[in-house]
Amino acid sequence: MDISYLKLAIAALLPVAAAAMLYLLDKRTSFGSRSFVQKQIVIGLIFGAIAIVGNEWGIVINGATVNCRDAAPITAGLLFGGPAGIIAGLIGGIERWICVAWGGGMFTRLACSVSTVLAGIYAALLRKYMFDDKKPSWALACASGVVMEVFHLIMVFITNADEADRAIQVVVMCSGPMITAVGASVLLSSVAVTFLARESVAIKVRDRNITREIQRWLLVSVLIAFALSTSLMYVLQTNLAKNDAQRLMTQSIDDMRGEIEQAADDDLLKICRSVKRAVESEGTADLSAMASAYGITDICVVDKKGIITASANSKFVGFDMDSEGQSKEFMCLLDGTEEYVQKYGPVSYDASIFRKYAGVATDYGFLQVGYSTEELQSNITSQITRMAANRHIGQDGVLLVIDRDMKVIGGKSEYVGIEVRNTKYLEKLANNKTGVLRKLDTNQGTVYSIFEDVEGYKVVALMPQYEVFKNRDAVKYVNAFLEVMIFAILFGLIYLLIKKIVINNLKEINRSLGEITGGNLDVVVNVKSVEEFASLSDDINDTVSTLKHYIDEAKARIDKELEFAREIQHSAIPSMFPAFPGRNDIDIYASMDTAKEVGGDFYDFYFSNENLLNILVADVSGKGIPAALFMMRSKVQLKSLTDTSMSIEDVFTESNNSLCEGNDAGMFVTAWQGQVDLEAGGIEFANAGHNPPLIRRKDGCFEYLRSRPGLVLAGMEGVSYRKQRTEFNPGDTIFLYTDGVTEATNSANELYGEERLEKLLNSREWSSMEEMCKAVKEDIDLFVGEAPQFDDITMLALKYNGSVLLEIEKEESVIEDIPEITELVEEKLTELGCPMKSVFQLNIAIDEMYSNIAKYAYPDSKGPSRVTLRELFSPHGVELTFEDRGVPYNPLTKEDPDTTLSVEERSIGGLGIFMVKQSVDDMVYLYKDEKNVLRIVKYF
Amino acid sequence: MEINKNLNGDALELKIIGRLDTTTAPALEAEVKNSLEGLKSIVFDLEGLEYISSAGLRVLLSAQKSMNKQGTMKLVNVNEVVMEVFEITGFVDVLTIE
Repeated sequence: MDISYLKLAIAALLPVAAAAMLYLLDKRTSFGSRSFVQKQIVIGLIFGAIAIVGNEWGIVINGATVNCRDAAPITAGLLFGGPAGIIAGLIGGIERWICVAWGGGMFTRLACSVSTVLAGIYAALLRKYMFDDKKPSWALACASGVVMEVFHLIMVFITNADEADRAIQVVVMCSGPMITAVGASVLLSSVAVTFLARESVAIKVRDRNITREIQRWLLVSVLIAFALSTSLMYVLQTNLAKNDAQRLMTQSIDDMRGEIEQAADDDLLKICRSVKRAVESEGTADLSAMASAYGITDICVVDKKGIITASANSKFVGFDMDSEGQSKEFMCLLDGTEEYVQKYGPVSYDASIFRKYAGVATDYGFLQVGYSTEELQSNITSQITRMAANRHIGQDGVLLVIDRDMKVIGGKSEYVGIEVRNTKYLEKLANNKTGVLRKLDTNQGTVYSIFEDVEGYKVVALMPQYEVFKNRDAVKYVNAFLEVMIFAILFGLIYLLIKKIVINNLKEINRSLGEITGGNLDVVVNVKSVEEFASLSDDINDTVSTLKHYIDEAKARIDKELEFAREIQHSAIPSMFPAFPGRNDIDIYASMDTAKEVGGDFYDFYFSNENLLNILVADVSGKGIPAALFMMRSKVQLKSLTDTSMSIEDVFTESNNSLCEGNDAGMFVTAWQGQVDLEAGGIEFANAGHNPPLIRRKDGCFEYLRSRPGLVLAGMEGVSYRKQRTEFNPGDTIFLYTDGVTEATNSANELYGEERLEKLLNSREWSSMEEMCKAVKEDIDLFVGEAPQFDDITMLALKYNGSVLLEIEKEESVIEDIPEITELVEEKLTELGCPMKSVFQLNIAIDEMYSNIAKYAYPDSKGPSRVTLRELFSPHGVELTFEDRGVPYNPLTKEDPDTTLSVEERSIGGLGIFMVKQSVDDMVYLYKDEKNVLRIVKYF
Repeated sequence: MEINKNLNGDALELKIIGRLDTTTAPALEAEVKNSLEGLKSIVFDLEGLEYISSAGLRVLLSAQKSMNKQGTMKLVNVNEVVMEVFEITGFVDVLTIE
């Protein structure tokens, strides 16, 4: 192989090596951390240098250079980025322009320079608009390179339109190697980078999309159209070219024929006139000798009747010229025509004999002479050789004249003198029919030829095949290139159009649908640019709005039902506070904040008997309706068993067995229940897998009351629970909660935690359990912040204020009881170290309240009453309770007296209650169990 | 409750010792009522009064009303507890307290 082709191959491989190297540099070294601009410039310069090498190592043919210069900017642009491609293209293009100075091809200078610059821009545009700024698959990269080269070759046509023949030659020569070299170079570069990126080189079928599908079908249809039009055009052009060639050759042959015939006619007529004069002077005695002397075969003297009277050939004498076709033509000489020459042809009396005849009119009739081929050709061959010298047909076609000895006697000089029998193709031709176009293989290539017999000569026209089909081949290339360009443009255009009309709209619709499926039903799909999408948008919007309507309806219904469920659930647990208004020895408060409308937590508290208070906090597994249903079941179960005065551990054991029955959902419940003995102090409790409560002794801190818990309720049948006990004395507090408290989670996924709960509870003195529970809830809210509530938050706090100091019951309440009561109360108060002033204030209170009961509670008689004194802790104080079964009357609703009136206007009514109100710390009235209950609290 | 009565012509001084409440007020009321006739001045010495309930206030008020027609009435030696009651009830504006 030629060394220059090896250089071309190496130049084609340079972009591959550079692409691989630059890719590795970018990914593995600090080069990758350079700025985009820096990298693009470096890559552009490197590929620009490669473009120069690609140009310089090209093969110059006929003013054009077969090279793979364009591969560098295309590789840079497609694989590394638009700017790099443009830089490389500019460098390559400019160098191609000026390289003419040191031997670059001039003919394609403009086409090549422009194409190389455009190659960079083209690659940049493709990368940006077709490949979304990513490197394309190797197939597309290769196709891009091929299309660019085709464009390059079309540029050669366009820039050299005035030298189309040469342009075609160049293109025919260059197209194969250049397209192959550039295509292969870009392909291999792309494969190399793909391979280095450890991506699959195989093009995945599942990557099909609308664009690809349309492009695929476009490719198929364009290929079919291309094949059809090309083959049709080819056949048509072939025949047209053959016809044209035949016409051209026939015309040349005809020209030659005319000249040969003219020469022969002139020759024979000249002889005929000479013979006429000879006959006139010498007579017809020895015509055969005369014929020999003139170098002819026949001399016939014909009388006015057309009968041969004398002849060089005696057997012709007496022949009637009018009897045969060939000789009959001469009869015109008897009708006034002076001279007549006949074409070379067979004679009348013997068709195997070829003669050429001429005649001239004479006084006696006419004289006819004829000669044979030999005689003719010996006369005119030199003339014909001269005439036919260097005749050509078209550009490279030749015209040959062959004499009867099958020797070329006229035409292109190198053919003259050739013996036909020595030249196979001419021999083949000579044996052919006349006037038929034949294709022959010669040692100088395939030629088309045609020949005619003229006056015994063979006039042969030969045209090289390439000349015959020059136009067809030019059209073939142009057609093929244009088809490729048209397809490439359509390919790109369809991609962009589909992207604009379909893909972008689909993306927009998908984005909206994404939001809709994400739950935002207020999103409106608004793609109106194309009718189909507008209709789709409307349909989606209608669907969503209908859906929304149904969802809203369903939601409203569910909301309503959940609201009912919530009410039922909340009404099932005691939620009125103060819960036991008549009892100030305990302060109890509980709350439940469900994460959903209904929850699985619950609390409960109730007296089993007057001094046995049950407190319970429980947590059902799960949330929502199922948990709520199980919660109701558990609550009822525990309460009904507790009501049977069963011991707490038995309550749990029995409840567990009950709850296990029919628990197909596999739910369970953790529970902590305690029974507080308010008389003797102490709590008996059972724990079924529940969080430890916090307990605070009178003068201590809150601490976790940890005990070994039993299994969760409903967890396993037959499990038994233990009863445990802890002291619970006046002044002690217990705090029960569910894990919703300690496991409340903030947005950083941190848990609220036991420690924080303990710390908060110990952070200050609580005036009431309500205050304490609310503070815990507030602290949880503060901790959780914006994070959603996951679990129900439930807590129950109980403070044991202490026992009754004094209880005075009267069957018939009268004013006279007051001194006794005050004395007893005062005695107790003094024991407690109550300040004297408070003692007096409480005495006033007893006086006012008890006298009210005595005077007004029972209008027509005397009725029972009870006065109770309890000690209160933190803050230390006492509570006085007055109860009667008289007329319901709330003294607190009595309007305060106007204390600014003058003496005359003043009355004493309402003053007593007003005084008491002003001097104590709290005063509560309620009517319960048909009793008026008035509580008065005084702290020391 | 104990009432020490000291009548000097038309001036009466009543020393109240103990508690003036629902049960004891009627006694004071009766005492005042009996002495009221022709009286020009009445003085309540409350030094020994431990506390006073509304019943006691009622007695003082009615005495004040009566005395407004025929003379003067004043309260002396009012201790802190009782004074507070007078203040709460606005009696300080009505009674003459020294």
